[in-house]
Amino acid sequence: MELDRTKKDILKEVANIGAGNAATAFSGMIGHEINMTVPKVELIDIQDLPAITGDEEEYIACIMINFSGEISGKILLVVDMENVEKMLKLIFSTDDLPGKEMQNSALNELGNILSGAYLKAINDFTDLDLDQSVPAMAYDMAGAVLSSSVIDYSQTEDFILLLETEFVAGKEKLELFYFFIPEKDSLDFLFQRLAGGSFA
Amino acid sequence: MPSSDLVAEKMVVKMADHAIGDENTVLATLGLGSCIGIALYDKFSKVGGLVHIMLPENPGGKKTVKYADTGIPFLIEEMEAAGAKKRRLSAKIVGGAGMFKSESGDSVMKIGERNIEAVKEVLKNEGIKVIGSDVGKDYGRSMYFYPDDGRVEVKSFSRDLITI
Repeated sequence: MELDRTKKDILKEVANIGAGNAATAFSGMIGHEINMTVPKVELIDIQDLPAITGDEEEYIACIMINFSGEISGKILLVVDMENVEKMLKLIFSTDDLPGKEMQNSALNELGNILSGAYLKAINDFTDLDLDQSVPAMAYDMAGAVLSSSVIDYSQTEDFILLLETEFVAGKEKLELFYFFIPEKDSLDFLFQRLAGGSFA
Repeated sequence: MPSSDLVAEKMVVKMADHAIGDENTVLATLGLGSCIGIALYDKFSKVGGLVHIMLPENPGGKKTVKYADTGIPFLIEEMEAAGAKKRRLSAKIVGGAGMFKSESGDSVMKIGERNIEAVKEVLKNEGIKVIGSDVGKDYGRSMYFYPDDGRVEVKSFSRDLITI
């Protein structure tokens, strides 16, 4: 698979719109201003995915949501443990965090809200009909979690397409990675739809 | 740590990759989730091989070392070329976890289990005995294989290091 300049720009725009809406939803949830980085669009070797957030043995939390419909793929929300704690404190507005079950529930909800906002924006922009799955979660070494997240795409592919945005929340400098990973067959459809629209 | 570790050269094996080493090397693979690391060892020649597979079956024409059914035979061939004898090989396997869970606690992808089955099946067909394993469950693992004596150390988060 190759990505020419036009396709890359289309994907950047998709990521920008999706992440912008997700940032607004996130801000509403925690009551802090959210800044986001300019989305990066990269075609990466699947071998390099485990180290994409840094050290592959670093402990992280990952919330994964599958989406399907006219196009399908995954959304991954990746946060290291230090930032998970900061984020939970912001969500619960207290330093005194509730039990693990409540924490997981809050993180799942965050995953739902962010991916919902992201997909809604893409939906509005492209007029594609998209459904999202319930979130699944993993806490463990980055390499183990990230490699397992896309294992179903690696059956026939050695590369994956990654739309990456980093969010930074308020003065806390809470950082989280947001990955939007469309399935390969969905891409052609996405380009087709968008090339006839505002990118013509 | 044994003194041999101080001089051993560490070779890190990425996903869908492999390496062959001898008594002066350590073969490591970091952050195994549903993937499986297979360490094959000939204790007579001290030739060790490690392959990091991601999936059970090669659909045909794809990267050899990514799949159990093509990666393991490939590793055996490479080890024989490096002086190992197939009939003397033994195996230790690590990984095959189910990393993602839904809020209800159910594992969402069964690929780890399928990988474990496939790896055992391929090794059985090759006539290679599995003499150690740390597989399944729901957590990630890093493995360090020392062809010096054939031991494999498995490191997991907030768990004691184990040697198999």
